[in-house]
Amino acid sequence: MGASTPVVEVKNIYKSFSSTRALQDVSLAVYPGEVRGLIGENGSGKSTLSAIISGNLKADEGSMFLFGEPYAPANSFEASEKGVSMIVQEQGTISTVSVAANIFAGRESQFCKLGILNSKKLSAEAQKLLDKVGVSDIKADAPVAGLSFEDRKLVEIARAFYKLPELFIVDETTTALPQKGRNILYGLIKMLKKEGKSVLFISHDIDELIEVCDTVTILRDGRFIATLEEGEMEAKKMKELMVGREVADNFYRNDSNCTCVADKPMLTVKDLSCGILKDISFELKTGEILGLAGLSDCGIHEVGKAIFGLLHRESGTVTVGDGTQIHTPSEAIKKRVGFMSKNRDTESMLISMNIQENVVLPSLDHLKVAGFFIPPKKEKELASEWCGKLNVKMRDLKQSCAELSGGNKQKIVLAKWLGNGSEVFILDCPTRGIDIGVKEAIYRIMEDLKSQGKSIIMISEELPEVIGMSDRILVMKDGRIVKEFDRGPELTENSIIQYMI
Amino acid sequence: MNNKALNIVKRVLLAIALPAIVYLILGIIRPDIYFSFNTLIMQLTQTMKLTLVGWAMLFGMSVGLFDFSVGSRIILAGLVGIHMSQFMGVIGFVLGVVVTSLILAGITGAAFAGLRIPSIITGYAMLLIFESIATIYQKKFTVIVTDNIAIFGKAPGIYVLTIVAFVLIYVVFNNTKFGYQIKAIGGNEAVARSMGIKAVQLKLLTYIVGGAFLSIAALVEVGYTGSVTAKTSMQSMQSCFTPMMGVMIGMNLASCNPVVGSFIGSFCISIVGSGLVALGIESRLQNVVVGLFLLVFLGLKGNSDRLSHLFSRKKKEAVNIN
Repeated sequence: MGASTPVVEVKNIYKSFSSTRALQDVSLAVYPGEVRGLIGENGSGKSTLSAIISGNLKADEGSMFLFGEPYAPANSFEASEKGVSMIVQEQGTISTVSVAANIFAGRESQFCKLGILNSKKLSAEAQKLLDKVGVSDIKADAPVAGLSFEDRKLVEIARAFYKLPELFIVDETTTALPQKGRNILYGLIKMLKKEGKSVLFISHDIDELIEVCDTVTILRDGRFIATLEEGEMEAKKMKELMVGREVADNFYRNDSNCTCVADKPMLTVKDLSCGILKDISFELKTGEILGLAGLSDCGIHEVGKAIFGLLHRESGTVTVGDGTQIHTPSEAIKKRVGFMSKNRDTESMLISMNIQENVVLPSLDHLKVAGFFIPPKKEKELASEWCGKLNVKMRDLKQSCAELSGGNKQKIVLAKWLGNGSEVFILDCPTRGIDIGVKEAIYRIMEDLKSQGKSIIMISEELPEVIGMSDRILVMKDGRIVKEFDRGPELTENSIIQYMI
Repeated sequence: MNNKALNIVKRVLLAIALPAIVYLILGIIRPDIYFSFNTLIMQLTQTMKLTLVGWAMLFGMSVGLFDFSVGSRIILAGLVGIHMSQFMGVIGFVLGVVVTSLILAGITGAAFAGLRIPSIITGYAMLLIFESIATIYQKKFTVIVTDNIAIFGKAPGIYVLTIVAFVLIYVVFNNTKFGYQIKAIGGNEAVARSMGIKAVQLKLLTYIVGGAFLSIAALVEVGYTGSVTAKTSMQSMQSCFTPMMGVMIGMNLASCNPVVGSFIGSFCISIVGSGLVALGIESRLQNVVVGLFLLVFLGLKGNSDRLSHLFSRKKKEAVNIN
């Protein structure tokens, strides 16, 4: 690989955001037919580097080359035209237009004659592309607003494959995809490799990286640490290079039995039906971590939203420990129920606001003096206390949340509900898209909450964490609860999977 | 000086930099007009009038609502206030303006929240209705302005009202649940809803709270001009554009709070406007220059990252050459 001209080469790249140095003297070369992994903790600079290569950001210093020629794309469209395409973790589609319009956004002129757009041809071409990529069930004429988050990701993938990219950048996208979507993506990566094209694959899932990539580059605190070749890629070594210290092999709970108070439910869900959900009933006990497992589109994510009052319920009730029924988010918050959405940036956090404002928002009623006045000192104390306890890496409390890494954003969302004194936590994919260091910290927080008698509903598509952290697991399929497992040493992924599919 | 104090000084300097630069440029062009105490006082008074209307609009604009009925509401509230002053003196004037302003704001807000139509369309429709009512009202009742209401538009009345309004709006915007929720809705309505914020009710409340502040603006406006004339054919709409520009500048001044920023923005607009008058520029062209000022400011603000990148590159190149 090393003998040929690299598809993309970046040399001595520097990038800063205000006083934060995101990248310092990073160099990297990706060769034809190579699938290069890029790994590092949140805030290590992976996404910044990929954004620079894909034309979404500009480097402060350094140079880039595409097939040996100077390369400095003005924007992502220009990069894509030159053969560098990227798909990201968060939403990257326009929800107000159709799938076809999304796929050919910026390239509409090829379907125009005398200024008139041939929408029939546009849709036909888009459908061909969707079929080619392997997502025929998505219709080109369908409005994107009606698609699930996962299907929107697949639309983005199709868009990237309109012209076979020379370098395909996958930025933590697999966490947003169900297994079927992941398989489609893996298939496309294999096809690209076979065609002599390259892939830059960013993921926090080390096993996935070892499986998919030929080589892996590790970044830490914005600096290049190492590149491991195929024979050197070993999970423990990669984790240690990422974190810069030794890490434990197992970071889940150590106890193997259910430890919660059975006779005192904190939350009771009865006959809940809503969209895909049919007759969902369960009790959440005091001090319990209740895992909800299932395939992405089986309804597990809707359960969290429906309990919190974000979805309109067709029937059924949600009752908290004191017997009060909750119907809306404001009622849920009043009764100390907190919800962390799977889609952090778009559903759980006010990206445009600063850290302090985000943390105190659900606690304003507790901070009020004389019925209306919120003293700045009290706000600061609350935000400072919880950001300190959760060890949020930040410049100060006034730092914009948009500047934080994924893991730190997740901590802010948790801080928000912890600061509010929540008793019940609905955590939808709490460790999605975050590195092992923060992951471990979140598991310890969950254990700590449990020991304080607080209860958690943990919704997750990652079976090891559901098994590793839950006292009890409810398995869902097609909108229904199909099986219940208690925590125990004999519980395996296989025993759960057979009820999921 | 510690870091915190340094930061505060830096922010204050940054905040006053824009009006100071504009003032200095115009002062160099016409030192006889600009470097005089009387001109400064006149511009401050003008600024207060604009800012009071701007503050009333700030709540709505922060949650993405654009209400063009503001001017017609000032006129109608002013007419009712003056009418009532004939029976109850100053108290009648204040009561008439405040109560009418709140009622009109409530009706506009209810139309928006109840019909769920865009705020711009609601604003247009209400403007047409309020302008017509004001015209009928003026024809039906003999509305005579009494001298005693002028205290609201002259010093020290206008200063006292502006300071009271500033303290109130600053606290409401920065230190109340309502103010926080406004920022949250403006940031991301879906996330705000998931935090238990009732978006529609909150937007309705922004109309009413904005209406309360608009009543202060109406007291000052009527007191200052000493008359109110009903307008037709959407002429009242013009009176909301200039304050709106001040708010836009204020919301984009990164170094300061939008409440203070709106005052600074209005001051800039005011000195640019009066400068053009002093320079003898035709009134229609004045709007062109004020519009260009807004475009230049927002253009510079929106491209600040690109500009700083460009400047730092030029600086590095210059260092390398040396």
